[in-house]
Amino acid sequence: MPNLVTLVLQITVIIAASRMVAALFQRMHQPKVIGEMFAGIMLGPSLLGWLAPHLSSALFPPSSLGNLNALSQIGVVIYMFLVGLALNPAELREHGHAAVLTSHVSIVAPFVLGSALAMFLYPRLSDDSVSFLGFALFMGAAMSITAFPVLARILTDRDMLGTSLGTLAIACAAIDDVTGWCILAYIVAAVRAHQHTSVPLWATLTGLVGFFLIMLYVVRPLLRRFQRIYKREHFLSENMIALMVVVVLASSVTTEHLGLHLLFGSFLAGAIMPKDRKFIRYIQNKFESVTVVLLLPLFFAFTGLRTSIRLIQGAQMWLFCVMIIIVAITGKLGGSMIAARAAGRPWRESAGLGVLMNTRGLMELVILNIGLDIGIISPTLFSMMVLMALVTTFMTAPLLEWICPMRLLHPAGIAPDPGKITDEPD
Amino acid sequence: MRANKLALTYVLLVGVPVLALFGILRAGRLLTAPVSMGGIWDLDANFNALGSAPCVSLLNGIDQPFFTISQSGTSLLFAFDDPGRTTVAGAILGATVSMGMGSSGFPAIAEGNCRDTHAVYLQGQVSKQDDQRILTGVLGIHGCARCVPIPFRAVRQPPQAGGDR
Repeated sequence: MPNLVTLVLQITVIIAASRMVAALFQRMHQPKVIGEMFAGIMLGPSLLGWLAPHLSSALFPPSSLGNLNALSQIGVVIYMFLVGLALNPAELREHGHAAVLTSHVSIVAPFVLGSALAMFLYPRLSDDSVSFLGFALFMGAAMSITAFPVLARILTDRDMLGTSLGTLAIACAAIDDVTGWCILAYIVAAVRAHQHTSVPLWATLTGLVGFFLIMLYVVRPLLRRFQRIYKREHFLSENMIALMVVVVLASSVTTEHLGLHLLFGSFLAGAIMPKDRKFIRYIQNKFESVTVVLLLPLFFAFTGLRTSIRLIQGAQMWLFCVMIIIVAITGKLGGSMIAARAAGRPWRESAGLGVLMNTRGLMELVILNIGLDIGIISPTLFSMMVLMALVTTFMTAPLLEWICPMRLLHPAGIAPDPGKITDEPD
Repeated sequence: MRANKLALTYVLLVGVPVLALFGILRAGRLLTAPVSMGGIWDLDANFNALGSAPCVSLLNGIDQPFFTISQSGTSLLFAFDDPGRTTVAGAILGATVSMGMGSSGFPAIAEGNCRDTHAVYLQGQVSKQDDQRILTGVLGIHGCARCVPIPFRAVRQPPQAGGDR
């Protein structure tokens, strides 16, 4: 019973703190998710544990963190389902070559730079329980991720979803997400197989192929029936929603047992959902409130409790941290910008796209937590990467306002020159 | 014409970096990282051997059946399960492990001829067999002539997932 009281108290404090900090950040024209991320860090050893260690250990005793972690993981599982749900392959086709080129470069450039940085960091921040291959691939994947949901939120807040820049950014981020998660799936499977704590790699890959086929040819038709019923009745019964939850959770458990991670299954369950806009919106409304308001702040807080800025001690460690941030920005922002320009987009729009793709936000935290869980990154490197995620997400809104000021925005696109508004590439 | 230009751009911006990535992964195989030390260690040492030597209370803090090491590369952080949750910085160089060498992390207690700068230190060698790690060495107190360093042996518990490295 005392554990339950502790948990309820923790949830109360976390939600209150995350709402207050989010409101503060919104006043600074930042998406509230960044405020929630900061609130999580503030509740951890970096601030609360430093300023009031007794209060921190009374509020978050180590023995109680298992419950908090379990709740936060359920939140992320449902959130990844929502991310998969928002993916729409039709949007990718609309932009054709430009989206494919830009998104592929926006993955490859930070991936290569991240792996190159791994050559420098591996002997300094890793140990021999992790292979260089796993470490380098993880660093590459962590550098190349884009926060699709945060990006969509920023575009919505700035009324940019209908612009050519907005739709291109969404398309690229969607391709990035799918590619990034596929790469990460491989890394997790390979690392876990290497650790001898899970199923062998061949069994994981074979199982995944079978599971994917089942999801595509057995589960998807069932979900299509749900869509037809929704079109006819304009609502889904509680039993159908419950069945959908069962599909998401069963899919998560399956990928975990196959040697991957819970989150891949929930993402896949969302991705295979029929993409009728009204139907998707209805499902999102059903799941979003509890997830975003209640469960995700718990994830941010749990991440914050694992993040200790104080682990980054000394000039050398801070130098490593700055290097990580510079490489992340150069690879993602620079890579996306150059690719968009090469695909014929104006410089201003290319730079805007680079800034948007550089948003890492929540997705980065999800990946970093997986890396820490499977032991591929150390707590110190985890803290450095969390700082990188905060910096790259925080810089998006002001930089975007500087490059693409609201006054230049037009439903048809972004003006390549001030005063001249056009959607045509030059 | 435009399709050809895009294809060429794709090869330059995607194909060439992918080749570079393979080069990096190949070259990186030659790199070596420090020995993995992270985890929970069972400690076996005869603290009674110290008897009533001065400064012995400095070692009372670590007179525990186990301690935890967090690792980031060559940097180690020893965490003891004493009431004060003592943490001491350490390092690993090759197979040599040291803790509290020149560190002021351990709370010094004025006792007998102990000065405030006295601190507990650890020096040892780690040996490995597959995932198992064994640390052998001595624990002592800096600057205390009468405190004979006591030998210890610590064995790392099997690694667990959960980021405790």
